[in-house]
Amino acid sequence: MNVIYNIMLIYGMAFVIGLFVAGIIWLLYATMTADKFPRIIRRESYSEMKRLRQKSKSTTAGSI
Amino acid sequence: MKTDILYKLFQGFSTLLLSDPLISFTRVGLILLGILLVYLGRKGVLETLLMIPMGLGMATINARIMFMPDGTQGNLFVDPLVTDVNQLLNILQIDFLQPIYTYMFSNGLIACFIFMGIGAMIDISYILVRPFSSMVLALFAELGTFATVPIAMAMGLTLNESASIAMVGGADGPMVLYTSLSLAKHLFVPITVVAYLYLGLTYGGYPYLIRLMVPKKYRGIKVEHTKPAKPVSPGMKLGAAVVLCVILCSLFPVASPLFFSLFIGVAIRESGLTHVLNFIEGPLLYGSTFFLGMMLGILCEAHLLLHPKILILLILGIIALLLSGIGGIIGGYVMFFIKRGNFNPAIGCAGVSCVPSTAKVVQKEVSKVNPNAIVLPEALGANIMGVITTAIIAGLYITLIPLLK
Repeated sequence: MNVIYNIMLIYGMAFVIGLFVAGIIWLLYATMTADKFPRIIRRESYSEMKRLRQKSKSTTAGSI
Repeated sequence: MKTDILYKLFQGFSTLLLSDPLISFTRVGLILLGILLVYLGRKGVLETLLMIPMGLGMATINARIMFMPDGTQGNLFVDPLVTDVNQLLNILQIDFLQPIYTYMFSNGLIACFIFMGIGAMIDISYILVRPFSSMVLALFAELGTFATVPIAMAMGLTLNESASIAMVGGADGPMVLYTSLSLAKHLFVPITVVAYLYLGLTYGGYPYLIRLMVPKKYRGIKVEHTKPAKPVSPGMKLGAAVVLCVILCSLFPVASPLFFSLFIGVAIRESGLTHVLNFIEGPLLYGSTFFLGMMLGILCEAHLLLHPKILILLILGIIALLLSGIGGIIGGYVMFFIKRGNFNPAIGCAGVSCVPSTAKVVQKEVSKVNPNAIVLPEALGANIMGVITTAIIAGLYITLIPLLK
């Protein structure tokens, strides 16, 4: 009975370690395949937003 | 007087006549088994590269027993039982296969060479893309590696012996050799021979298990992926191999030779060193497998193999592989329910890490039901992850089993 308990414990440990390793692999894959220039894109969209805002301001001014 | 000369002249026959009848019958049986292995290897029923040297070695070693100068019976090939250093130095100069046994076999080097070859052959992009599903399948497919231990103990084996034979459930020959060398050195020859004999049979046995456990309507399921996987470059695979190798080696220093060997093979494959890759997956892998088969055959001498536990080992080996196959398919069903029906349960059988045999078996069985269903990428993912989980379990066993005594 003690053997069965110990072996089940080791199997459980193997599950925990295995899922930990899978987590590391997932993290590696997610990091390596992530978009390389997310900040630049954000900055570009921000500058785009500023430009659009200015454009809309000038359009509104003209209409008045 | 004339009979005496004949006995001395034809020692292979005289030792057969003058030995204990049990030994003589076992020798004849092993000679016939060796010839049968050569035949089955040639026919392609069992793995040709392994079975031809093993079969010929087995037949030869049992045919050529002779009288040694001290009057005992022995051979001039190898003496695996020698422990005294001075005696070993003498034998190294006489027995022509002793250097291969001492410097390559008994320290697990040959297992590591084969692992390097396996690493050079596998594409880890399958496990990088779907790590969790591959890992779950591989862990379930280790059921035999664990469930066989209490069964073996109930059959009279010690804990170390039980853990060594249970490793057959991992379906990884080099790992069985490595674990049995660490835990039950006195039984490593029969355990490894049993493992390699059965590993050849998984190709023939698992299709029936898949047909028995997975009904046709599930066996033909085509796995659909909503999100296409991002491509994995060789640089990414190399980076992943390096990180995984370092982490796994730091987690299990006792199994680090196996992890290092596996990941150095992957690293060579992904770093573009074609000339080294050709060497590792060609001469090194095939050469090591050939020598492993030959040495296992040579070690199957009747005196060595005639162990009271051999029959138990034969039964336990098949139980371990059967339970692992069942566990793998249970894992397949678990993934089927997790993915709400978008998973083929038969893929679970590929979690048994007999790279790439089980993955090919699964694809073949699925194709018979639905020729449009391609499950090989998922099956190979589970297959490769199975190699890693078996090495993890080898590390756990080698570290923990001696503490449980």
